[in-house]
Amino acid sequence: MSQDIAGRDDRPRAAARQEVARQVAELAAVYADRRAYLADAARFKAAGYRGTIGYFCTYAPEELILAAGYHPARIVAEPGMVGPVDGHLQSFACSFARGCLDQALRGHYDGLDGVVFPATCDSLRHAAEIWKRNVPQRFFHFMNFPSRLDAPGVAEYTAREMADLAEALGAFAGVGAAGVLAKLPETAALMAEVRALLGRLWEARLTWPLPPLTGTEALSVFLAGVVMERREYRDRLARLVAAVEALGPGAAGDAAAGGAGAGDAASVPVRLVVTGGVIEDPATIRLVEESGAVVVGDDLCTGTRSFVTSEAATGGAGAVAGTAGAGSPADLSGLARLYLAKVPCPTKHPIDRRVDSLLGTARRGRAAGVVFLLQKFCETHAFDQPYLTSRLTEMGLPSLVLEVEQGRLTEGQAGTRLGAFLEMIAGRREVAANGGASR
Amino acid sequence: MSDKTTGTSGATELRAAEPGPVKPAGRLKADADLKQLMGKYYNGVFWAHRLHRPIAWITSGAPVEPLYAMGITPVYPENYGAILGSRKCAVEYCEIAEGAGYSRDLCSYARGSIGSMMADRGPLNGRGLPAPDVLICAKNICNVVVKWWEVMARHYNKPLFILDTPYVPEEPVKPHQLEFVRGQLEEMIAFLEKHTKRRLSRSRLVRVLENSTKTVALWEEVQRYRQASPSPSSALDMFTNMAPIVAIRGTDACVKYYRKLADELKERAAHGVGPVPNERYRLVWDNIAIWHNFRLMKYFHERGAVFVGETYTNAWGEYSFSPEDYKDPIMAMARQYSGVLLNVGPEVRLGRLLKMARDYRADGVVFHSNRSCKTYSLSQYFLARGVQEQLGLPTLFIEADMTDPRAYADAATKTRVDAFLEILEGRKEAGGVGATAGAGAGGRTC
Repeated sequence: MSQDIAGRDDRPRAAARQEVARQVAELAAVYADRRAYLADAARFKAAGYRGTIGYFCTYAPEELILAAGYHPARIVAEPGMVGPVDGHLQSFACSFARGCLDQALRGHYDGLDGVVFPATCDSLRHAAEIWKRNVPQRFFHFMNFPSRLDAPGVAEYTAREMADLAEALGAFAGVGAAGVLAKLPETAALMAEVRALLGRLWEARLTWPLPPLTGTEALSVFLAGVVMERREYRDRLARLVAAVEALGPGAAGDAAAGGAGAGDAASVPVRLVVTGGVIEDPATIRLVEESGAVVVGDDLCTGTRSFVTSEAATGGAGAVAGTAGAGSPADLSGLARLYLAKVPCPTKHPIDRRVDSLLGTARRGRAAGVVFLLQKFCETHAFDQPYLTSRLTEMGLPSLVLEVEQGRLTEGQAGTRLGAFLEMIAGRREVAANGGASR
Repeated sequence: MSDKTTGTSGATELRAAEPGPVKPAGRLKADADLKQLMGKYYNGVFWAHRLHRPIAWITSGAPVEPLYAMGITPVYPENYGAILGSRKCAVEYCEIAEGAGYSRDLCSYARGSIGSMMADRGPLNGRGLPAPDVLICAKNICNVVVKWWEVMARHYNKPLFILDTPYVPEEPVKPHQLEFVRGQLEEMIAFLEKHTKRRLSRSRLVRVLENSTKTVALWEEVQRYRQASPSPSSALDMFTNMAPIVAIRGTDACVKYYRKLADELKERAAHGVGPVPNERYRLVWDNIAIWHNFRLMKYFHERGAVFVGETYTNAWGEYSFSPEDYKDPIMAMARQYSGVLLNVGPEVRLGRLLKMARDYRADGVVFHSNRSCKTYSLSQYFLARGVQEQLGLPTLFIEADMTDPRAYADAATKTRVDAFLEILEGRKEAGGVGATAGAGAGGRTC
């Protein structure tokens, strides 16, 4: 009989875990082959869409794109060398902005009907202007979004910017702003379901003794959701959540027995939280985990910040239940409040909610350390990092800063540094286990 | 907002009417006044607390007028960053910030000033800038300042006010966006009153706005004299002479200074006196100065090239107000501070650049691709194509950093400058002239 390290029969758990892994692999395959998925116009036509509109960033209201009858597809860069972008943006521009623009200039996004850029950072603002002039698409909208989340009248202002987007989308779709707003309750409800399901998965990763998904798997699941037709994604996600919840939280002793990130029976993975911007390649997280860790939580544009409110991330309002706790907005005012309530990204002010969310995630996830994954030349993340590091240190958490360029970690160097970081954490554990004896 | 690039009247006619011999120019006489004026300003900064005057650390693009109207001393960490650059000690302070974890890829003004703040050390009086009582930051010049100001506010544990300005791709600013900014400006005034225990008098605010407007008019006059050949001043003069309009805009002393500078340039223009006696190539500069290497400017001068306009110095002509504005000064400030050069779309920027190149009869445009300032630099390839296509002017890119010399290669840059000037010379010999020649003259990029 197969037993876990506590001597229990682990066969049912291993089977359930296999089912989770199978479903995750299917979703990962969709993301890996996203260009083919998005190019399949018949799929979207059959699902009732007018076409596909790309969008950047967690602050683009997908609900409105859906309400205009378009499939929202998030723009991500593909790892690798860049080419045509060199004629438009200097090499010291953020590598994510350069990567996305490069894909577009190569024609990879020509199949889109349009694109929505929300205001975030200086580099993406410039990328938006270059995109507008050089990528042949029929719809382009730059949506101002406040940097200051506590400004007087910020919700009204955000709602008004969203109204401008609704009007532009409505005109493009031929249904007018009224047509878009009429559909909003329905699409907002769909997105609320998606976020609530993601919230349940993220909550399980964060709080269960044995995380049901590796960070690599979780990122794949998330990324599939920014590519896939949203109803199909919701259904697949519901099945995955059911499979995960069948797996159950496990116990600390199960850690080596068929759990996510499990290595051999002698090694219990180190629980880590990662923080950074857009991580578009699951291999980046895999590299972190290969060194003997499991990423139980994140503070990423491609993760928590897309669907979790800061109140939830700090442990308030119950669990990390996505934005479901905020309800499903029926109008632009509600939609604006929803987006303003998300875990803020570093382009937003004040920083307090962002810090509290990261610390809350690390605390709730019982993380042994935090890894910064910083996009090369991303100024806002780089500015925040020393402060976040100091706050993590205050709570006794070590952290490591790694740089991501063109979507990838510099593998050899990153692997070595991660290995040293995990060894340091292991050393701390040993000291703690020995009653805190000093070295 | 109207295009604030300087007009075309005045200097050219003046020079044509009195075509005296070209004479070499030394330093501006006004430089001595400038030194005294800015010395006095910094003395005021260092003495402010002893005189019980509150200090606000403020961004260069933020509305300074309410501060002067309330007797609050504004301090400009950006200007301080430029000082670190021009005194060639930026690396020393940047390295302190880098040692504390701030990436070398970040803005060098920020790194330099953070380093000086952390070490409480600096070139002006041995110590860093005096601590702020409050901090004011406007996002209209970049997102970086928001993060930079957060760092400084945390360091001193002092209250910070952020003025969030929407991006304005095309003017005019939308009414709901103006209302958003206006609401924040009102909040900013309440914030200043609360934390400095001083009241804002509306009449004093209007008086300061009037001074700002007078200053801007004089600044435009100063710029206009540069349309003369030879230009009575160069970028070297203007980069240093912009300090008052940045730091003490709105004061009587600032108005007085620019009156004097304008008179001097008028006289120079009338007598054909300029920094480049044998002026052969007239150029426009885009982006912030390379503060640590003014020798590069002299390298241009020695080869007959003079910068007759800079988008950077020209941008300070954007903060003027009309008598109509004084009825609702808060809304007027909301409008003016939303439409500044770095907060508008590339077409608007290109329009201002083309107008400048035409008005100043430029032979070419030099783009400082400034590693530190993404928001200024990342549209430059678009702007360069616009200059080439619409005016037929050659363009040159110089890779550098405004204060950090580690990101600059002098020999390689000079080679590119030589090649660029050869292109300009070829055009001269072929009978091509400046920006007034019109489009299609075969612009190239070095």
